[in-house]
This record gives sequence, C-alpha cells and structure tokens, in this order.
Amino acid sequence: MPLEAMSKHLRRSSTDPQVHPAVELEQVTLAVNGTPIIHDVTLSIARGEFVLVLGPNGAGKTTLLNLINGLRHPSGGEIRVFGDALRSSSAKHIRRRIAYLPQDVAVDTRMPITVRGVVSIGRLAHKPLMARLSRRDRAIADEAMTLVGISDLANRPFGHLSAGQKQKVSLARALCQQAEIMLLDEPLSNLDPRAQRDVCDAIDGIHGQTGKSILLVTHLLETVPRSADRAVIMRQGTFSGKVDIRKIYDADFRHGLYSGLVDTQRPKDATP
Amino acid sequence: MEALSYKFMQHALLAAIIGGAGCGIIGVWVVLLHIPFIGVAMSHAAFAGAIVGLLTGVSPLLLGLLACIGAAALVGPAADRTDSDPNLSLGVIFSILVGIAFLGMGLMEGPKSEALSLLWGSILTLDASDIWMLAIATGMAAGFSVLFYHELRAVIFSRVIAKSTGIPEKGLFYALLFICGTTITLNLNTIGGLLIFSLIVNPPSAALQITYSLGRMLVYSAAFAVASCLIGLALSYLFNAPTGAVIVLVSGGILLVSVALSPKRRQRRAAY
Repeated sequence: MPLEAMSKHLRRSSTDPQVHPAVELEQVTLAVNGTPIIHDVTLSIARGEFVLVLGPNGAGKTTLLNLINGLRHPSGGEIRVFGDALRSSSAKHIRRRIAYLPQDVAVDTRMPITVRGVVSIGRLAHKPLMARLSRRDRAIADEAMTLVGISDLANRPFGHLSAGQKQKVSLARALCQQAEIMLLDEPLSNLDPRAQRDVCDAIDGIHGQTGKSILLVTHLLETVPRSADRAVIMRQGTFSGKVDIRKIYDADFRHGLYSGLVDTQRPKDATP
Repeated sequence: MEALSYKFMQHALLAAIIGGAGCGIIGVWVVLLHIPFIGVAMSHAAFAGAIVGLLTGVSPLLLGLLACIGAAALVGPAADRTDSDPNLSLGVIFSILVGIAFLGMGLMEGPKSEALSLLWGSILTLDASDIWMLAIATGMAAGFSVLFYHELRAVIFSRVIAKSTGIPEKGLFYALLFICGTTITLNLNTIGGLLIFSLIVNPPSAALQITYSLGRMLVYSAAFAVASCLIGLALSYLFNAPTGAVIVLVSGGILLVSVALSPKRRQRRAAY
C-alpha cells in the first residue's frame, strides 16, 4: 500500500465542527501531600503540532504526560482535549484520542508474544471487552509496522529484539491505536546513538505521514526529531521558557542549554 | 482395559482429563506472572480453613474452600495497596494462614486427617460430585482465558501499557489471580496440593520451551498436563505405585524432554 494512502488510514480525521486545539492545559497544578509536583502549567498544542518538552530528570515531565493522559488528575486548573474537559471524559474515550508511549516499561523478555502481537494491543482501545481482532485490525497493525519500518520483524518474538527495535515496536503499537494525539515519554533514553537516530527518524516519519499532534518529553538534547515545531523547557514542575527550535540542532547551543538545565535543577547549596 | 471397568478408575480418568486441563491452563498465567508459590499458598489456605472448621464444628471442606477463595481475592489488592510483587503478598498471606493453622492444631484434640486430606487429596477416591467440581473449575479457567485472551495478553505484557490502552487492567489482573486461586482451590480436594503444584508449573514450563505464541502455549500446556495425568495414572496402575507421585514425575519428564528438544534453546545456543 502506498505510504500516502496508508497514512490516511492511520490518521483518522477529526469530525469536530469547531476547531479546538488538540490539547489545552490551563494553569494546571498537581500537589501530592501538599508538595507541588506540577504548578501553574499552561500549554496549548494545535492540531498536527509537534511539541518537545525538554528538561532534566525530575522536572515533572512524565507527570505532565500522565495528567494529559488522564492517568493522574490535577489538583487545580483544567485540561481539555479537542475542547472537551478531560475530567468529564470516559477512560475509553480518552484512549481513543490519546496514545501513550510510557518510559522504560519492564517487560518479561520470555513472554511468548510476537511483534505483531504487541502492535495489535493498540487496537484494543477501540474494542469492547472480549472482542476478537478483525481483519481490519490486523491490516491497521500491519500498516503501523510498515510506517515505522518494522514489517520485517512482524513475526519475530518481541523478547529477541534490540532496545531500539523494541522502541520502534512501541511506537507502532501507539500508532495502531489510531489516536489523534501521541504522548511520547523519553522514547530515546537507554538507546545507543544509532538507535536514537533510527527512532527519531521513525517519529519524524509518523508526524510527516499522519499529521498527528505529538508531545514528546526528553532530557536528551543530543538527538531530537527534526520535524518538531517548537520546544519548551520544563524545570521543577513548571515551564520556564521556550527554545528556538532551529537552534536546537546546533551543538554549542545544546551544550549551553543542557548546562543551564542541570544548573537550575541542582540544589542551591550543592557544590558544583 | 480391565482397569477401566472399575468405577474409581473411570472417575480418576475423568479427573485426570478435566483437572489436568484446568491446571495446565491456569498454569500458563501462573508461570507468566511468576507466581508458582500460589499453589502452595492456596493449599495451606485450605488447610487453615479446614482446621478452623474442625475447631468450630463447621464443615472443614466448606471453610477450607472459603479460606482459599478469600486468600485468592486478597492477593491482587494486597500487592497493589502495598506497591509490592504479588509473590510477596502471597508470602505474607501464606505465613499468616500457616500461623492460623498451627495455632488451630495446637488447640485441637483428636485426629487432623480430614484437614490434612486437603493438602494431599487422592485421585483414586473421587465420586461424581468431585468430577463436577473439577469441571466447574476447568470451565471457569478455560472460559476466562478464551473470552479475555487479548486483554489478558496485554495485561501480562505490561499493566502500564494495558492501562494506557483503555483496558481495565486492575480488574482483570485481580480477576486473573482470583481465577487462578479458585481453580487451584476447587482441585485441592480431588487431586491435592502437591499434585496441583506440579501441574501448574511443569506443563506450562514445557510449553514455553516450544512456542512463541501465547495461544499455543495455553493449548500445549493443557495437553501436557492431561498427558501427564493419563500416563501417570496408567503407570501407577501397572506398577502399583502411588498415583500422585507418578503423575508429578511424568510431568517433570515431559518438561525435560521439551527442554532437550526446545527450538528456543537451539536458537539461544546459536546466538552465543
């Protein structure tokens, strides 16, 4: 199947009469036992926009994704997905609109499951309980694997793959969910430089071919997808600035930015 | 063939087929969840319940079954509430129940053979009601595994991914542990704790050696468990040996053969 036709299949056009942003966060706050983890975060992601959230470990990036994904609930503020308040949406409805690629998921490598089996898990977002996977579900899973470039691995056991290949399978699984929004949590961590580049290319391919809204959080600045539209910096639970996306591919700029990120995260009384 | 003319052998044969299939099926989930200890924990829960029954004058079998069902229902929530491994919650539940059993035995006067029979069981002394109980247990395990096959595969693969795909992972995980526990419980009085332990561990481990498909693993495991029971029953009759012990040894033998012939083992060797 030509890539253009394939991407239309995976895209699932939105039928909302009014054009709302894909995701809106308005003064979102999350406090745990009185300690603010996320505070006063405001962000709008347009349809089809690709936003990077850069920040050191512990900045609250994963928590931010969990809030948008409905896995955690904010203490204050509001989150809207295509104009609908997240708190009034059902879990099934959210899963059909948001695909999530979690960070460092521990999977038993001896689990008897093939790559196609893992990718097909994404289809369950559209199925009632106890439903069988249809021929169409299998076709969509195959398309997702083709788009990410792992068709040749379809029948391989998942446990036999390299870390980079596993991450691409996870991307295909998220893509197979046919959600309009993809939340990617540190998809490049624990990968060697070549695998990072491969995964970045796969993400660029997904964005280019399907036009999905993507929010990718990462603490790695060396390798980032080139199709990102903009980048914001997150420190200590809140957004602290924007980054000129064109400069992010400049090594000196990245070095300065990374030093700044680490410095701001370090406790004030800590020795350098 | 002469042996089959005896009623007790007919019942034993049926128990071998039905009970073996049930243990083989839930054994797959037990092995993939890494909780073989559930077999020991459930048999001791039955023992503790039966001791309390003997002390209080209530049916030991009834209280034994109730104690098992209660313990099975507790495993999942206890693990999640304490943010620990299900094996740990099984260990805690096991230790408390053994404490109750020993306390009851210390307080009890007279024979304890009725309670001990729940630990050992006897496949040669079954009546029609026991066969029905086995049929219910196996039907429950097989029905649950078939109906929720895709969802259970996703939950076993990764609870985080299952949750982010909209699968009610917590309910299914608890239900799976409960089904495993109750299937073991309903088999206890008939084939005994020791035999169950071998049948929920050896056949699925043998099946895991020869397939990368979860569906085939379920079928192979059930077939190996039934074969272990039937061959063990025949050998014990021919050589006048203890039936349970022979079945355990046959299931171990099948595991050794599958390891020797395992294509996975050959692939692993080739990889190094």
